[in-house]
Amino acid sequence: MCLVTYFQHRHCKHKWVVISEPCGPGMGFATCDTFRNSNYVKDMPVLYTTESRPCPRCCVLASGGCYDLNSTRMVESMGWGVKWGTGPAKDDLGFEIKVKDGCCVKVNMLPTPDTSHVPYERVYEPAEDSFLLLDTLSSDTEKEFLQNRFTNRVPLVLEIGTGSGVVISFANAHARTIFGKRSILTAGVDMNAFASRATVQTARKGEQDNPGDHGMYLGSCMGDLTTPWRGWEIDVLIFNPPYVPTSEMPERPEDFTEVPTPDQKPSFDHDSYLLALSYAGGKDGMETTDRLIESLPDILSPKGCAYILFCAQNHPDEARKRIEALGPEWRALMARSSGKTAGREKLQVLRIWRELGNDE
Amino acid sequence: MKVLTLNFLTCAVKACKSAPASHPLHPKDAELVQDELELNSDMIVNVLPRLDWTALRTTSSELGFPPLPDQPPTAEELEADDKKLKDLHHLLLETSISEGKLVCGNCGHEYAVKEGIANFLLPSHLV
Repeated sequence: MCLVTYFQHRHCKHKWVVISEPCGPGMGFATCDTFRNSNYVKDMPVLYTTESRPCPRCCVLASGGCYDLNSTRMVESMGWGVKWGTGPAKDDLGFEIKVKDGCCVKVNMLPTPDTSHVPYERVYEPAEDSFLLLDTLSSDTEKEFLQNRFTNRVPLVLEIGTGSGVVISFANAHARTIFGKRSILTAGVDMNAFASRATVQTARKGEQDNPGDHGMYLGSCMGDLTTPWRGWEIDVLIFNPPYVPTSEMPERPEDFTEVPTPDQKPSFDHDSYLLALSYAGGKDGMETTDRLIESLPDILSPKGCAYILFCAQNHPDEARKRIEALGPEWRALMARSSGKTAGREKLQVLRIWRELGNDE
Repeated sequence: MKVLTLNFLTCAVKACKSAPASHPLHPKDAELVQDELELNSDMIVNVLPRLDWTALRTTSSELGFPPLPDQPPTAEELEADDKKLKDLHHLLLETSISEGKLVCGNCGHEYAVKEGIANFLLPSHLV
């Protein structure tokens, strides 16, 4: 079965759906059996707002091009189901897809925070990995876990390496849906000054767009992992690490200043360094993640948990063993995954926590 | 960064972590900004039990706010006293540090705050 992702363009408001993970070579809307079955029932879809991805209708068709119908379809309507178009022409029949629970899709979709202000030449642009974290946090199992775990506490939610801020701003903006209450505190850390500034803005926009639902964004700071945070305070830690295996870790350019003044023009070297920090993970892509895992017992509150993203090359099964070796109470569970390559999940999010026994 | 954040932060230098003097960090030449925010009394009442009250008293007085009582108010006291609730809401959530420095009371290292963002990246000799 092919996996799909829904997008909506921020300006033209058109929606489209793309095959994010084909179930086999050449598989897609025209070839995969999944989509021939008109009774195909899909989980409530999350709609990602985008600005950088071109709208197939406005950008591609309008400029005389055409898009691949096997991998992309416009979404004609989302109501009690989702109707995909069969092609570029508006009078194409398309077909209906039922949505589980028969609920109105529009009401239940959690919108992605606006990140149109983020300078993507210096800050990691939200991609499948960021979206997988959003899916994880808004999934029924994780909502239930988080709501049961922090009934008597105002949880402190910290994201490391916020980049554009889309993930932590999503958690903050939809506090009532995810945590069942607005009384949550959120904050972000990044090594990149541009990312930290962008995140503050993303969080603010997310709060403005979700009055009555959002938590409290405390602020962003620059730092290495969680070093400036007091021990045993963090209740929910979110980390989309630099996970791409690289022969070496990014080297800091000699004339690099951490906090460039507004009139300082960053050079190409500086921009590449900042972007490399967001993906280069060294050996097995695990050099940074391993440092964080080691520190978990000292940073998570007794009921604290962490959501960490892994790719297949990170050997997440071995990471799970290392986490479980932190002590008999430590647990690691695959909370969400996306796509399979050679029988292994391409990306997955592990939820890590301490099992505290009955007196919880 | 909101004033409440200072209750959760400490010096980034590893050797300072266990030293009581490293918490809270001391604001220096701090410029404050105020944002008017809707009061969420549930947030204030429920966040107090997780705070280091002594540290908050220090931060509050260093920022020039009226002195806080020796003991944190109880949930009942807050529910009965709207002003107490609003004062804490104002200090913890409506007030942010926009510019200045945060100083470790143990090693003396100063962390710059610019545009509301504190920089805790250490120079290589301190890592």
